[in-house]
Amino acid sequence: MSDINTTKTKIRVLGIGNAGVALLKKLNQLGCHNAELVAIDTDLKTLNDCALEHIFPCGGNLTDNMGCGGDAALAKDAALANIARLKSYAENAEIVIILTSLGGGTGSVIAPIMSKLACEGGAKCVLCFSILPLSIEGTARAGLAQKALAYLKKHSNASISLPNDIILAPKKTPLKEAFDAANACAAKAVLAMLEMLEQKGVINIDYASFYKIFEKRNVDSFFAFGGGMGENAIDDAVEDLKDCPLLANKIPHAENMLINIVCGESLEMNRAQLLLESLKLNFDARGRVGFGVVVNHDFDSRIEICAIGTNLEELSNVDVSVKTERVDATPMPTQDKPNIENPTTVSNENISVAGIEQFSDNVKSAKLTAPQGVSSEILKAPHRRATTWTPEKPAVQPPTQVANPPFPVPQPAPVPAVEEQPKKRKGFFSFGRKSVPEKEQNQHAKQEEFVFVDKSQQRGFFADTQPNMRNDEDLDVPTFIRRNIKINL
Amino acid sequence: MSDSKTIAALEIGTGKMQVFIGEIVDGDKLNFVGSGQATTEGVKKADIIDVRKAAAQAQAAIVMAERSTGVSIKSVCLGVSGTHIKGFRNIGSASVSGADGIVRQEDVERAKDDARSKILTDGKIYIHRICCGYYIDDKFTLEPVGKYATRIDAEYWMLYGDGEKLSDAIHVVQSFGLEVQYLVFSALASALTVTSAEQKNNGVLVVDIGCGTSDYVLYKYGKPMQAGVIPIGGDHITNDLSFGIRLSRANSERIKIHCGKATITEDERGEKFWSFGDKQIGDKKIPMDAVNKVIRSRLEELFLLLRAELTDFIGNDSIKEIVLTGGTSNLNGICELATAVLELPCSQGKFDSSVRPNLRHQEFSTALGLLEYARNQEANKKASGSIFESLTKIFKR
Repeated sequence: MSDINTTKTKIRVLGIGNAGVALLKKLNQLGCHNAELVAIDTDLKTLNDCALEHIFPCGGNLTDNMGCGGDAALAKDAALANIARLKSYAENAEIVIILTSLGGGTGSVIAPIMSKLACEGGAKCVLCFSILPLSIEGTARAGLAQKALAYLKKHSNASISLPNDIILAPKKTPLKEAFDAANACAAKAVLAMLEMLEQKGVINIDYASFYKIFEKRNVDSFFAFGGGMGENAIDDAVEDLKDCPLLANKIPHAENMLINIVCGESLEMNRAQLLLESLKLNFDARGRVGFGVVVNHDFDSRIEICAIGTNLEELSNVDVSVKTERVDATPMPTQDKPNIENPTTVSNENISVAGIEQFSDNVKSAKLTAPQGVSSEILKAPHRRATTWTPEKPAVQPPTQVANPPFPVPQPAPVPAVEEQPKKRKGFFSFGRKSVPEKEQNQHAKQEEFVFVDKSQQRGFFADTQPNMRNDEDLDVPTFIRRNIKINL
Repeated sequence: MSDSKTIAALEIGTGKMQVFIGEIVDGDKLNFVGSGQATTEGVKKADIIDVRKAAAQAQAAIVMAERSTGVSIKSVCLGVSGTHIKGFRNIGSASVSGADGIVRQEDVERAKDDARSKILTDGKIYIHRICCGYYIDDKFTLEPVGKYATRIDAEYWMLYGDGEKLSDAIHVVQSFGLEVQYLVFSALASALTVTSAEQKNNGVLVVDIGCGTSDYVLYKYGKPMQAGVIPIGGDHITNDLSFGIRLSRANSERIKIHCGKATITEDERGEKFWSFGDKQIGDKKIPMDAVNKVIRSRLEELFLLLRAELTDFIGNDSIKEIVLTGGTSNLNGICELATAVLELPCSQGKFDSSVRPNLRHQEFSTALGLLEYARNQEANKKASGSIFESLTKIFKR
């Protein structure tokens, strides 16, 4: 156990709970240099095994350093006992990335607390990657996971949930392999972002634009990955990305997004451009789009894409549930287990979580539209690209079905999907709103494409020469275009 | 009886092929004999992209020079540039072997060998390995021999380029049966013409802003300390203008030369001029401010990149002035802009009085410098035989 330095670090990655620490370990193995990795768990053994510099066993005497065995109340007590220390881990960092797996005691309780502390501690960007429990693990864990997830979403700039059921989709893979694959997938996503920020890639983004992409808190986010190989690597990769089970067959309308591409040395400029272009078009990105390209010498013709972004419309989790529901039609659990303590009741002490009521409201409202399915009894996860049914229908219908009945929409109601439906019918003022009809969206997409091609191809006289890269800029493109200097004629 | 040798200087520039023929008499006097010129084809950003076209134009220039002078050229001093040329600092060290602790020539040679022996990969080859000076026990000196020390370090600036691209340039010359005697980085050549020994001693940065690239060399204590290429040149300004004011390339070039200004006064800001001046259809009024903005943003970027490369020297008083040369240095107001960005006094290159008045153009500084370089080399050979090590590694295929 070592003390964390109090000078302001740029990036801190917190691995919370058993699986969170495992993720962190994976991240460390993959070679993460520019971030401070901190492992937090109630179980001392996990921490000792992880071989990380900063570890914090928060169990102490409460749990005999043994882990809290899925007991949320115990985890809460442990967190309260060590609140000052936890605070020190959450503060003094610009970007806080929380890796955890929800459903257990430590992850479900301490992760939301840390995200809240990080937000209060002045972090400019809080990102959460949480692995949701397997459906076979039971409804109790699923319910706890949902609560925690809703809370994480509220206190983070992007909260990405990776339902284990879906990641482990190919059923025949050995269990260990499947878990490793799931961990590697999340770790890679985090690493990709860190590498972009570390300026290791061919194209990188800086901190400022990164913050801009994840500007708002409490928004829906999506995360997807895909890959391709061979001659049609680009098309395959894009298709694979669109088919990524985490998107559940519905391509989100991204507001802001961050795309990371790992490719071999042979990827040509025009092909790379084509790829970025088609991604932007496919995701219909309206706001800021950050690109990162990393060249991996082992990749040859292989391409891997990883996209993280914020949605215009509420969806990703909805569709996960919808889809899985379609697949195996298992009934969803509708009631929370009463015996599970609300993880945020921590608030009545010095951490001050404003309004427990509000939180529980949010949980309910989130439940209306979103994450149910993940929590539900998903026995069979869909295979990638194996789906036969069309994406449009289920994407629109289920939220309305679930949304209208018994629960009243709460006052703060941060659930756009519920609000949008009626507005759509009001007509007159609704055309410019988020829920634009399909046609309108396509028009948008076309224009965006034009702008994008324009900007990077303005090489004119130098069009047939090698790009003239310095500091990630092509010097052959006129300076005033790159600097956005307006020329008035 | 005097011994004379004819040598041709060939500069394969992005804008033009320039050939100067000179006669070296008695190994140290230079007579200018004649010149030849041709427009360049197949070269962009100082890189040869079409060897055949470039060779044809280079031959045209050489033939023109030969005809006008009646001299037949055998060997060529070739000036090279290009975006592929880069440099790094390398330090080699040796301990002083003598029991008395006095640095001997052998120690110096060992330190130099250590520094020079760094091997390049990826098909890169050295163009120049320039000795910038020595450190004896971490103290800088130019003359280490005879001083007391325990250790001697030789500091080198290693300038290298892409082997394939350099051999393309050599191929252009060899394709019509000439020999490349010296291969010289063009900024080193330019600096020989536009700066005096005193300037080089005090610290001067010479920037040769050509058509395709800007090549720089930094002199201090009379020795080149750093050299390199910023891949921005006059062509970039023309290209920017054709985007910025939406005219053809030819018209942009014309406007750049006649109306282009890197810095403008408040009064000029409101001025406008006709794009073609013939008042025909398509002729439009272009505000001076727009042209200036485009040019200034590009040149500012160039000087900022230069500043970033010279972090070791800028801001600590090692450079006393900046000398701009090359065709683009004729642009109005460029010296003022360089002064503002680099915070050092800046002027255009001035030629020695021995240079004929009709040759005193910034565009000719490289070709003139190449002749001067060849003369220096010949003089060194004559004066000291093998004691002095030639600065250049003569490029052999």
